Amino acid sequence: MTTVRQSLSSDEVRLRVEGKLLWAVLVWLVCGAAVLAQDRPVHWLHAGAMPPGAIGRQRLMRGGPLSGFCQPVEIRAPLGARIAPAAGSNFLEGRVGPLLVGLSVGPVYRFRVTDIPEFPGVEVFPTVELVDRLYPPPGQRLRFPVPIELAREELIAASEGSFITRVIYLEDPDLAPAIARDGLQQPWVETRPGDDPLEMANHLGRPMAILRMGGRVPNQNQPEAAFLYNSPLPAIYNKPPEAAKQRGQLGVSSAIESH
Amino acid sequence: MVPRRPIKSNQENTLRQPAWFRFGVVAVATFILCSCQAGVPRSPQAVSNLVPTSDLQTARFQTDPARSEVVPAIYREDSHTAPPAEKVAEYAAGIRPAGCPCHSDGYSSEGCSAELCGNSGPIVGPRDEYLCDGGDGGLPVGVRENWQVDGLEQEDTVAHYDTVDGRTVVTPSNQVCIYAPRFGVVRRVVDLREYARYDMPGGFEQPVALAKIDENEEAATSLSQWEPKIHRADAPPSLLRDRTQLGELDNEASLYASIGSLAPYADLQIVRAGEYNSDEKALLARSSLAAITWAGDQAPQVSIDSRHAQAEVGVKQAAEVYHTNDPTKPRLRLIKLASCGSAQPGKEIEFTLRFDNIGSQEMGNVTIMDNLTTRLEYVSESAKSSVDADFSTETNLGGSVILRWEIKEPLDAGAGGILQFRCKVR
Repeated sequence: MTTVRQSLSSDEVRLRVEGKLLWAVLVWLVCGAAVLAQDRPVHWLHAGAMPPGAIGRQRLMRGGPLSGFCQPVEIRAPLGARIAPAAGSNFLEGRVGPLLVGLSVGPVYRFRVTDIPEFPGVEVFPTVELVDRLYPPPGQRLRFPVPIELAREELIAASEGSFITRVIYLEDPDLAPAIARDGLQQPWVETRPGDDPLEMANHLGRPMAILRMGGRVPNQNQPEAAFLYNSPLPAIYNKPPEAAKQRGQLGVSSAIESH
Repeated sequence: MVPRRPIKSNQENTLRQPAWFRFGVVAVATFILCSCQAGVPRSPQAVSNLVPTSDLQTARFQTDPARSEVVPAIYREDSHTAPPAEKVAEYAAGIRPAGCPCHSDGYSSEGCSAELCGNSGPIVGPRDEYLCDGGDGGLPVGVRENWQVDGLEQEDTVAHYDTVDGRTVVTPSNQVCIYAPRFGVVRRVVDLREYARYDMPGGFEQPVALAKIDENEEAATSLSQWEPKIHRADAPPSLLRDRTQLGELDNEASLYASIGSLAPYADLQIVRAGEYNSDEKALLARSSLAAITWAGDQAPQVSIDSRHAQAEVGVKQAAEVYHTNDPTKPRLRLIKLASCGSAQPGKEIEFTLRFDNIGSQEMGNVTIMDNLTTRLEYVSESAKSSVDADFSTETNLGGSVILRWEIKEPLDAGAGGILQFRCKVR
């Protein structure tokens, strides 16, 4: 008796292989999406050279408890310099730094820095863009603001035409160097030519804010809205954290100063 | 002639694998792709410099009975059931600052130190804002026959001791987390001069060389190099006033260490005497972050002589107790406390380690080690011990130090002690 064997057609074999591969890809996509979602939110698609406000707005679209949160930010300036936040179409009265303000993720906040030591007539208009927030324990929010330092030499360089971008990031504790930082001055890392500061900050920790200085000056008579980015008025806290801690209480200025 | 019918269906049934087999392959592939992660050290800087890397492999899985002296702590699936309520209360070490009512804004009043009033809740948000120390994360800690410790990474705090029957047991402490975010800056400066380079010519060369240099400049003035032969010094004083002090000398001796006076955060009965006091239940209820972090599958397990140990863990349990079911029951309890729950860079934090032999037998060569994380700087000569111990420090790879206490005397059943040291937040 002769047994007739008929080989399967090549199309059937191909379909079976394709079917298995499709199953594997489908299952991988379903499970892999959850695995990828556990990674920390990094700014792979963002660049430090993007226009002010773009990164923060896109960060809001990614979700999370960011929208509407008022993140305390401490803006430090050289001794004697005055910092004035923008409000509407003008600036508020300048205050001697450090200035403790509450900012939100998304908008761009414009400030005016005057009375720089040894350069009394110089004015610099930095912008601050918040891209993330902190999650301190309940009641500790004002004790741990995000520090943004306006260094004197950078203010002078900005007034002379340089454009300075500072990305403030939260250090990864596993990557933190064993260097004591008792003083208020923040050490910085200079990027190489062509490097993106936001991408570099992503590798070192979690970017929190972007400070930009220089490049633009407002109209002498009336700052235009585009220059101020339609800055919402930040919440201004009365005292810096350390002074308020000594008093044993913290206070917020009565509403938010009106202009 | 009748055309031959293909036997397609039968052949398919014989060539194709059963459906359960195919789906099983897909399930296994999915499991491998989605859930397989290798155990890696907790941080790139975290591997201790105590052991070469090549030795870790041999030290990690030492279950050979011939080398039973080496007892590495290993992790296994957490299959414990919830301990009884009294045990939870007994071992709950989520001890927060005591005696200082904190306001909702985190600050205290009426003379209380604001630093003592840290957070009293669980970790909120991402872990990168916290500074954690204690426990045994990453690679498990093991002790070799020659007392070499393997797998002691940064942030690890463990104790190892010898039992009466010659075994070496490793016990980790609980983990203490302090809210201490630190920030860095990446800067980029774009200067106008950077653009000017594009407008410059590609090269400019004008070789202008000097034909001859023949110019000797003579000195206009010349100073004499003769030294004086006679040096007339000023007249020395002819009178020497001698001043004699009083003959008495007051000797003021100060205490080198004061273990007996504990700070409010650690002044609890469980730290003073290792006993749980029901009056402190309210204080214990304000558990530390570490108590919460020890819940569930995060609790490491210990294997002693290849016999699985049973871990007693609870939601608010900060101290870990490992024991086997043999009659001797060696047990060591190691509790770690921090003086505050949040700190700014530059602040000093005091850590308290309370260890107790809660087993039924004596244990010897008790050694407690704490590998500090990079952001904690040990304050020199701040280590104190309530028992006689040899204290030493050793620099780790991350730039911090490893603290080591070797308790000199064997620890009797029921005995314990307190270790304290201070660290500065970098």
